[in-house]
Amino acid sequence: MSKPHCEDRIARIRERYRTETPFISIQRARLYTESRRETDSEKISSGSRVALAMKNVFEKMEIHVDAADRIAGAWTENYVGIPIDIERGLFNQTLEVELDGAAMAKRKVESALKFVRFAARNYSIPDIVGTAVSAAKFDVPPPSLGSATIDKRRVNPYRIRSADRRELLEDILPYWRGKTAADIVRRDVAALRLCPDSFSEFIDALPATAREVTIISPAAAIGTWQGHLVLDYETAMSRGLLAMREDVKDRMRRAANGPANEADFLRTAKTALDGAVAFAERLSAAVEAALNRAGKAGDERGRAFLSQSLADCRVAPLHPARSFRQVVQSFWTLKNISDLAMPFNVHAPGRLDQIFLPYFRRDIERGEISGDEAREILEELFLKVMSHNMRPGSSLTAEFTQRYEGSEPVTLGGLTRSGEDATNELTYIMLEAAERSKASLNFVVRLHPRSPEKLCRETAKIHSRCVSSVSMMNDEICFAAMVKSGFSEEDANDYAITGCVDMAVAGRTGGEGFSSILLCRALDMALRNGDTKTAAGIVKGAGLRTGAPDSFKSFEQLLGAFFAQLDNEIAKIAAAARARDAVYARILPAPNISLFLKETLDSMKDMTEGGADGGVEGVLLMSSVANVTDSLFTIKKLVFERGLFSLARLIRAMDDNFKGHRRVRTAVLSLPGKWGNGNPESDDIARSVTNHIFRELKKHKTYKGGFLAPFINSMTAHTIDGRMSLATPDGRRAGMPFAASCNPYNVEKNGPTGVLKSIAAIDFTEVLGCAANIRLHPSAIGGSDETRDKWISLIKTYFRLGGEQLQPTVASAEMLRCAQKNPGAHRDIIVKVGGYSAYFTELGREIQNEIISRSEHS
Amino acid sequence: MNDCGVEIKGLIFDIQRYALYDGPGIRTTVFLKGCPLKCAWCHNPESQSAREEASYFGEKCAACGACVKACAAGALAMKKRAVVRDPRKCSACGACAAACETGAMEIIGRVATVAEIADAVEADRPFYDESGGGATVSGGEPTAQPDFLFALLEEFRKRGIHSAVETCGAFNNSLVSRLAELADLVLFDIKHPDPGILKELTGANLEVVERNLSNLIQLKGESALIARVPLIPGVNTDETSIEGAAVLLMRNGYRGLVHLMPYNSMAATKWQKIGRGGEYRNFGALEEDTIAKIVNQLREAGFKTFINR
Repeated sequence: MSKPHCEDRIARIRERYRTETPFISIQRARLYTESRRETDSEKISSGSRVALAMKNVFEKMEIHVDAADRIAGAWTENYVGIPIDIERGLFNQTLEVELDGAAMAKRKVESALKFVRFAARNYSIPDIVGTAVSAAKFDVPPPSLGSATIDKRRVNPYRIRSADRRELLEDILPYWRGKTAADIVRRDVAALRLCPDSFSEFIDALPATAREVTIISPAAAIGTWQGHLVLDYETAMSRGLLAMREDVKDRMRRAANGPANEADFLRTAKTALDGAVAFAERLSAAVEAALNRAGKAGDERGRAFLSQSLADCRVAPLHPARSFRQVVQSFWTLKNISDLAMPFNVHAPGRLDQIFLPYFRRDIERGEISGDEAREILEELFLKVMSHNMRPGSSLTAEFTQRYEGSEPVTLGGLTRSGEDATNELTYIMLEAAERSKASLNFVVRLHPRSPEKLCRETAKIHSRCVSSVSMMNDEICFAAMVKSGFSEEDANDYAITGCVDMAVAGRTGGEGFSSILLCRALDMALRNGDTKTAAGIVKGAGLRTGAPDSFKSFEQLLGAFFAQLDNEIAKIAAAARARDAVYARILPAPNISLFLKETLDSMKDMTEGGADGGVEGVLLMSSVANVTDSLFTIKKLVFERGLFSLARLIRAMDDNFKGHRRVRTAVLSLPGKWGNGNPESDDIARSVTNHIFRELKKHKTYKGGFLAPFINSMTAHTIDGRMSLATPDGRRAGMPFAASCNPYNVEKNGPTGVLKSIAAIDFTEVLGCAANIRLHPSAIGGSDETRDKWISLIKTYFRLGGEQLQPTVASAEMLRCAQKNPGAHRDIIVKVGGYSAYFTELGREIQNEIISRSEHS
Repeated sequence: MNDCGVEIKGLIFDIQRYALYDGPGIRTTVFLKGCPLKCAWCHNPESQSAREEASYFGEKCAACGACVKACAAGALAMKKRAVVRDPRKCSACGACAAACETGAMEIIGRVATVAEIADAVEADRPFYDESGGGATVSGGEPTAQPDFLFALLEEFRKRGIHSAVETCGAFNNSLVSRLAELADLVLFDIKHPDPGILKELTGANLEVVERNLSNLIQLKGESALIARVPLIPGVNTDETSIEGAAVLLMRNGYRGLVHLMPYNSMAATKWQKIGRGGEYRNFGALEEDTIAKIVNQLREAGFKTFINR
């Protein structure tokens, strides 16, 4: 048992991360911009410009150190804060508009005017009437920017010091206007003319400010950022930054007479390392200063913590880590360095139970640490990793988000590179730390047929105690999927999860871009001959002219039209993603990230040029496998087989949100056997739709020579997208969320076995990541070994049937409703949203309700 | 098919998958409708009647009136945004349920064939294989539809699916031998050891129940049996009742596992849904201490226990 004060310490850290309003920290933006201004006129490569700018940040930023922490360092000058990635510009407009009430009001008026102009130019009178009629039949309002500025909103608020706010709004943001990666990506993608001009006007008229995604069609979007990987911190931790810098210097000497671009690449790498070294050295200095302060203040415990910390920081990560404490400190310092270089990109920790193991075993052998002490440090580490998972997104989507998007998963268990079971004593300590820390992170337990029974049982115990941060992945399927995608068998054995649920190899997968295809919207295009209707109005000619509804003589013809629309959208995604990646390679290379990729130094290529490997463009299947399968199944049975009504009639019912179409809706709702009930007929539709997409994705390449890969994970987009969408043929009402990720939507009483069989019907050997949520009443796992063993059998069967991933949320609807009413008393309830974990009480109401509405299995 | 080539059908009211408490492994439980008993604490009141019946759940109702319009018998009326049913006119024809958009109106009970049930059960075979599970026939009281029950059990055996039957023990003694022959496992309820109280609160005759128990043990051996004691606060949770139950089991040669099934008061809605809300009796909360004492008492008497929850 650990000492009570240790429990208190972790609880206090958690409480600070949970309850303090984070500061928007502008020092990174200020120092980056300062350097950029100085190098504006210089003729240097964009890579070295980035490295110099980050070096300026690392050399001058104020580093926060807290005397109650065992792991030193924070990425801003505050305990809880976020830096701004000013040059990428994902949130520049959000800050420009939403830090200021007047600017918000102005923005709303502007977008309303733009919409009127758009409608006047593109809509006929019947269009306007039709849009108004559809809008009147919505039960929920479309998303709105609202009037609350970032500091005043209910979900995910941020504060900023007034001098910082002024500097940001008056000096820093204006400099970057039109120059950020997000600006240029948007411009270059628009130049591809993937959709009619009217669609750009339509998008322009929406009051969105955040640029996390670039919308390229009503049915497709690309993530604006690039990154999303598991970095190779292991090499840096075992060698030390100083040795890495010597290595680069050596290479520079050898390459002195080589091509200029290689010399530049190495010079840039050295600058990036100089920056990293500066941060590590300055962190030591900050700890020393804090130690002196604690000494003067007579804070004995602070002194004890800080002197240990100082000893660790002087070694790691500058030199090779020599102890468990040092390797953890090294990891955290390195993570701060890479997270500062690319905030809001997911740098998942990877397989920590493997990476930390040699250090842990050495310390245990020497009696330098106990399992409980190690666990306590890990609890702190997990909470700290969680604290970087913030995004200062727009109020437009705030209700659909939360403070900590608990992605950045820690991967546990699984196989060694040579295919042996990799579970070890640290795996169990980390599982315990996961539960005790109550960190809203995703902990991924990799399971395979030779996984120890103990690992299954410990995982099941955690679930039975209503802890929902732990998900499970099926190594057999994941291995097959990795090998099919071209990874070596060793790498496939060694996969780790990044982002939410995405397989990657630490230091080898050269970054994942992300885009999304909206399946129900593509179906809508097939139903409306290339037009589509959204909550904001009709978009004409965004898809292909695949035929009027009455022209389909068979279900197969309709399916063909749908597939044609999908192919068209996939081609748009491929083109837009290439354009985006070209922008990054041209203006915003990532020298600080490339340091932690295995092959970049040998290939002399930056990450953005495909220095590690080609990387992956993940295409997320949104809105959703369930709704589109059920829609197709409904049309097949009721329109084409039973002839209950025509397709045109069904479309009219959708336009009217099924109001006044009781007969149609009742028939749709009472149709049994939709996807999620283990019905082979609907399972076949899900399989054929997904197989078609898998095949089509393979036809395209990324800018870096990588491939497009499907991921079945919706994050929170199923709620936002649902809000923007009219009713769908499966009976889903307008504005309501789509099914999340890989979840079924219309599940009858066939229980979890039916759900899992339907999910497993998808060929996951083609999928590099999926989130399969299942919400369980605690009684479905029970409190005894006997019932927990049945739960384990359920998972094992699902894996044997071909399931890839399972992430249970163990919470009854009753418990979640109580938490809605009295959030203060239920702050620790963690739920699974898309592929990530989140504190339930911090979610917007929309997502809370969506989670409660998920079928509950008992 | 029976001997005359007629397809045997039965009345069921639910099939539940991933059942954790109805025998070994992951099970699919088939609930047969109709029960000879009327337990005062019944948590499946919709299982009692051996006929289809209509159910109405006010919380789900949108008060749209579609069911009232659809009812040809004129059994339904809308009062204060809720539907009121006249049970004398209702034949449970299902027109109301078909018209209902929200699922507030349902028909409980449907006629199903043996093959249909066996197919539904077989769909989860991979889960039984992994967990050592199978099918459980529950009720109501399964033996109240003996032909259907035995045909089901035969079919499960033919398909190699492990079978269990949950019974209150109140059935004609002539059924024992076939039950013993066809069921792989019998979960046998011991509701109360006192004949007077048992009769009063459930309607069962203890003599009949005990003879069936005794015969089953003789025919199948105690390892093919699990005794189950529902723990109803204030009814059978006192020391004397538990001792009585233990004695009853021992005098019939049973020394095996005892499943304890703690009472919960969540059946109120179910009583309301079938229009019998007035008959619901709340027996109050079962204290954890009480359960612990019972577990102890049974352990001292030589029984292993498992709490079903």
